[in-house]
Amino acid sequence: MDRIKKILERYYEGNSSHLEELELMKFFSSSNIDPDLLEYRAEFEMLNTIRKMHPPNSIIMPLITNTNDRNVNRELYQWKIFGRTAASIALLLIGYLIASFDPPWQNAKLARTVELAKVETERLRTQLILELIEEPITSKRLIAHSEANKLTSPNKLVTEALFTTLQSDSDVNVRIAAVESLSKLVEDPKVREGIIKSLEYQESPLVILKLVKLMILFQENESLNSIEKLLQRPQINETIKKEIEKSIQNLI
Amino acid sequence: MKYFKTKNRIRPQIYWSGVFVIFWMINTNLLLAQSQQEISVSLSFPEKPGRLIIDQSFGSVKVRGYEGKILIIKAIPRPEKKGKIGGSASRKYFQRDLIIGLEEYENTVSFNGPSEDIIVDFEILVPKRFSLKLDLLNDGDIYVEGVIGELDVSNNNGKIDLVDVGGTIIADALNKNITVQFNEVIFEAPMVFTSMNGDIDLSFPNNLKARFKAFTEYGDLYSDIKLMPASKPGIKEPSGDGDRIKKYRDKWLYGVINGGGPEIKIDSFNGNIYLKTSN
Repeated sequence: MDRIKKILERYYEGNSSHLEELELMKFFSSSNIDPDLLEYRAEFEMLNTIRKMHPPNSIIMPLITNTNDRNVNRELYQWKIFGRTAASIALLLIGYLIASFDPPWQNAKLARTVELAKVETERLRTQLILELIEEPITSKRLIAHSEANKLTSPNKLVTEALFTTLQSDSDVNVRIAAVESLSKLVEDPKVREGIIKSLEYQESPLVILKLVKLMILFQENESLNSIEKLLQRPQINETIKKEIEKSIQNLI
Repeated sequence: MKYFKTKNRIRPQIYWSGVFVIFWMINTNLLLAQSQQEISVSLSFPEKPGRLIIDQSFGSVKVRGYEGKILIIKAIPRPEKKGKIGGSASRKYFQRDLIIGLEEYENTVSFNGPSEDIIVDFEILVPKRFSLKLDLLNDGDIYVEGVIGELDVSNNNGKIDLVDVGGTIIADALNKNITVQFNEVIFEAPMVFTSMNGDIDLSFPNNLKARFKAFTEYGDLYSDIKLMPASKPGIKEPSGDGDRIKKYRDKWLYGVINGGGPEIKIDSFNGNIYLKTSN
């Protein structure tokens, strides 16, 4: 009995072992209990009941103690993870394929919308260019030429405005910007013809130089004739004269 | 515009248009004799930015920005004859009065240099925030100091010096150098600098945000800003017979500083290009 009391003492101090606790539970489940210890009976009976409710070792232990089984389970777990990942990727791929598949009717509708947006952008850009090109402030007129370079297709109104600028703008840099904008439209024979004609109206050597360098690239009789006429001007700028002679020499 | 002429003295006159109240228009007419003369020009709206437009055939123009709100214009005829005019002819010109018509309309002050073959140098004070359009032909340089605004300057045979300036600048010089020292680089529109035979020397503060496009045909390019050829060819220009159009390699060099901003285009034919940033 003294042993039980000592174990009890250790139990309440928190120093009892598992086997000692089992011994206490066994003791208090018996009928031979000292009256002094009866007050502890209910507690250990309850602990004993809880212990019996715990799953038997036959179920738990293989998972905890059996190394071989544990490895088997780990492999199983890894395969499961792999399978789930693969399934997720497959689902994503399927989703992507479905999303990227556009029915033909939707493609046509989208293309029409994009085309309308492009046309509207071009229309607004043209309107902006035509307004800016009339501005008294030089930098705003230069912005007009930057915008003209963004047009995706040649535009008759803008091309005419560029030629007007080339012939009559008061600022040399704006006229040079017009030459540069027109240089992107020279696929059109009318634009080439306009550029050749504009040479005779130019007085600024800086603009003449830009025009001549562009016209030499045409390699057309008309442009070369026009350049030769320029060479005959009595007050032709010496730098331009040298550049023309050099360019013509290169052509030959 | 009307000209008022006096024989021996300068008499700046304010000519109020008869419809001033309706059109808010002021015509300022002045007469400048052949000796150095000075005139002040008030703006219609002193609190708003203004613009000065000068078209000058013979002579120089110096413009300085100051804290005042009026323009002070000094005309200094040179004691020399212009060009190849013979002695007697030139004396005849000098005996005549020098008449310059000047107009102020809604904060834009404009005048042309004398139409006669007389060289006149102008020294002008303008409010610090002011726009300029200066167009010179012969016998003079353009010098601008301490002005912030839209500066559009063109000089056929003289140089262009812009010191301590800001805003948007557009400049072309045919035969001499263009030098610009920026003190402020807040600008929204593109800038262009073009020269045929002169150097282009630009100094910017290092907080400049811009895109650069530069090319010199026969000169050299020195730059603190990294400039590279275009990454993709593809600008179309005409080539030979038959297939008239071909793609060619873009000759321009491009650069971006501090994330980029409006474009600054520098184009010289025979001159060097210098692009500097303060460190």
